[in-house]
Amino acid sequence: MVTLLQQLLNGLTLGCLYALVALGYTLVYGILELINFAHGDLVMVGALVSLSVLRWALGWGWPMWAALLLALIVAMSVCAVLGVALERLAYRPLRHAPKLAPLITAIGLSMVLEQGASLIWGRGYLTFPDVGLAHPWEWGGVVVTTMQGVIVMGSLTLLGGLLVLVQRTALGRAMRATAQNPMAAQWLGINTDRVILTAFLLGAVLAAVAGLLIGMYYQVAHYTMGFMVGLKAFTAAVLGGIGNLPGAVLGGLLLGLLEALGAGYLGDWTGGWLGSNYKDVFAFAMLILVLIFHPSGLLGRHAPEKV
Amino acid sequence: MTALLDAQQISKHFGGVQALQQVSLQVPAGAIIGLIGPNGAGKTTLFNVLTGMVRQDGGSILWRGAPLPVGEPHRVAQAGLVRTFQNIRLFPQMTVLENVMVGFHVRTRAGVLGAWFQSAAVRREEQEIHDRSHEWLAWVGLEAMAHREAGTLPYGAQRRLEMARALATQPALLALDEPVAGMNTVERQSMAQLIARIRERGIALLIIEHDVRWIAQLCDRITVLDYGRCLAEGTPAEIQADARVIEAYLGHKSS
Amino acid sequence: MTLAGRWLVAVLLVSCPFVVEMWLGRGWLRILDFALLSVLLALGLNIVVGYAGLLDLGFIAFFGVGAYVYALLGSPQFGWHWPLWLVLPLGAMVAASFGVALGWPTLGLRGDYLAIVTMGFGEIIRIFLNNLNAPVNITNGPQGITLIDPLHLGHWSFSRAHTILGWQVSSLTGTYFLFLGFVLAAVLLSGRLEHSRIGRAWMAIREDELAAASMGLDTRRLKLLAFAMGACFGGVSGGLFAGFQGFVSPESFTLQESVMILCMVVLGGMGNLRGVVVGALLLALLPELLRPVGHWQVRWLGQVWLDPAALRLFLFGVALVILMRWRPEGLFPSRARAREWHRP
Repeated sequence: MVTLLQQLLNGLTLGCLYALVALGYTLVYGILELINFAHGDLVMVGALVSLSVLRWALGWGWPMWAALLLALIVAMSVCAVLGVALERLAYRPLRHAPKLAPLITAIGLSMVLEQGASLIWGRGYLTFPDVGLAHPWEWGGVVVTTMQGVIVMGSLTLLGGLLVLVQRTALGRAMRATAQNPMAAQWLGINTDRVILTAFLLGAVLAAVAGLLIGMYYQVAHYTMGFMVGLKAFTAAVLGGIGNLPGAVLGGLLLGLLEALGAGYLGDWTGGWLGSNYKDVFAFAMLILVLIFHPSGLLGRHAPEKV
Repeated sequence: MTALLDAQQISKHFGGVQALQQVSLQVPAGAIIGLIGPNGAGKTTLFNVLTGMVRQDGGSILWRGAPLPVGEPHRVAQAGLVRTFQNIRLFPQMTVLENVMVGFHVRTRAGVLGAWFQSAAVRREEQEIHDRSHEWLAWVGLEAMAHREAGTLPYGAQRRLEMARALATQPALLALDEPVAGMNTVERQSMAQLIARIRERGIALLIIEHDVRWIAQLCDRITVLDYGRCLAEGTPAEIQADARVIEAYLGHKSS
Repeated sequence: MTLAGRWLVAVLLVSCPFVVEMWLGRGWLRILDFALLSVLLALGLNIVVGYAGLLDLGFIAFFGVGAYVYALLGSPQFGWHWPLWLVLPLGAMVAASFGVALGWPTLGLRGDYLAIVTMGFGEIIRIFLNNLNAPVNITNGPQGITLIDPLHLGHWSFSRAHTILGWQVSSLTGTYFLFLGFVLAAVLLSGRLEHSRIGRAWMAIREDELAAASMGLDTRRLKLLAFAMGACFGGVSGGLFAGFQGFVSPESFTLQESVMILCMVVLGGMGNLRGVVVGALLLALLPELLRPVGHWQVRWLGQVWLDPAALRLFLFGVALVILMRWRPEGLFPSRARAREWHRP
């Protein structure tokens, strides 16, 4: 029972992180029907940038809170600039090109970001500075660190904020209108280019936050870390119904929980045949199952192809 | 006599919208049937259901007296019911000739091994596909454009190519979705002649069209849809005299 | 191609290994042999992406499957030493069945979902290869399988030098001709498919799947066929790779490799045989051409600032983006393919 609770808590933390990244996929997909493969790599950039900033600031003797704040701001700015640049320079010119072109571009961008990062930060694993949030709190055998608390609270606040933004503001209305029918939205005077740009921007900022949090949580960053995170987050977005914001959150949490439980119990269930080193397989199997049996996801609407 | 195609009580809804409500339609072999109605009346939806692209909620479709496969467009085409699309759907980056050659796929059989080893039978089949595709192109008047890329053809020629491609599958019933949309009077007349020639080959036609007068000169019978229901059914003369049709039609047109 | 042109190409292909070995050394001939395997792999992916229009980002998995089939059936791992003529077709068949297994659940998916799922599939295969050393040791885990039987047909081993008509033919040269034979066969078979009933059907699906289905094409079966066929090529290439290199390990089959093959296909020109061959050769040889970049840096800047390997991949990424923007038909397209992408 204690193990179960512990796994659930770990899963919740993981789920929040997935949800942050999944929102980036879903925001862009909802509007453009494009899978931005490079999105996971923005998380990696966010993690590496904040790692460098943290090291620098702590090296100068900044207090921890100030260093973290600076790292957050710089990471968000860098990712925002990158996100917008990706859209303007690579995706926008291809908006009416054959379907394969933007996909291949996305793969190219992902390579550019990864290898660019490896040129700057090198190919080794970098340890994240210890930000001193590892203090464990224990209730009846279940251990929660301050870090986990920060991740869960922080992400939930951001997720809530984003939902309010999309559901309640004029910008959000424009986004929803563009998602439903870009042409009609344009006729109604909505600047769809700006809406699309905003979607990329928001996604990139969330990715930066996720990058910082993931770096702090696992205390390690690496130029290829974006791949797995991206794939998992995409799975989460599909699980919840791609294009649907609350769905992405739900999918993220669900995937986090399933993965934590899988990692904890997979070995026992299979009599030791499949250990926790298969937990990545678990997520993919999940993705494939959802796509086969319920491709519109938990909260998504199914849009048949127009004939 | 059993009809070639016999659709009974077809219903289909999308979310809360009732696109089709118990619509019935018969196409006897060799006949030309018109399907008219205002925009949004459900004509294209009915086409999609009949050709297996959309699953109906209720009703049955019989083809030569046996149920037509549902939700599997390729098996419908194999059975001999082939359609064209309102917004023409060619294979735009393939040549005109190749488009028609794809139409022969369903009546030919060479597989991977055939392609690799090029047995005499396979080469003969390929030659025949090639020659007969040229024949169909000549028949619809596109021979001169055979080696152009399909996407670069003028609009009217694209319509004809789509029909040639469909004819290459040797259908018993050809379903045309607004074959003369956007055409001028001269083009409409030449399309009418083409349709008459298709019928002379013993192929039945089911045609969606807005223009009542144009369709009336071609058809044996007309079915009128309005708001997903079957409003009227009869000979062209009956339909043109039907007060409800005039009201539904003119009402929509004047608004 | 004119008759004279054909003869010229034939003479070039035959004399190539001797010239390379004499002037550039054995190292380059070895690289050339590996490059031929890349060409074979790219030809396989070309069927899936170029002809049928299915973006497969896990293609290296089939290469891996082929390599491991060869490795397991011809090494001390299980003590089996099956002959090449049996192992290669078997590897191709196993790879093809993996292709079908991957294709089956993903058939109904839109292109972009397919890309993600194939990417995940590639990773799953790698994770299994990495972990199937316990509880029963099958793949020997991350260490991989060593001491794989060298390529041999009967008593003719490709790992030894032979003397033919007084000529000394080195093992690398012999291997070159073996691989060249496979590449030429693959080009021939691909070309015949391209201009066949099946090839036309694949292209029709690539252009407009719904229209293709409405013409009576069984799109599910045809797409599976493309997956299986591409995987076959990949499996054969993998088997040859295992036999040539003598050892295999999971790290040869990462996502990066899948993307690299995709680059080869895209760079030369999707669906265009000549382009794919040239693109694959170019990308396979490029790392060697970029290698001096490291030395130059040491000489002029005192240390290696830009890792040549990372730089190469970085440049490939940039190239993909630029190609899709301005020259999606690839660098060496046939004239017809160039027209296709530049329609208004």
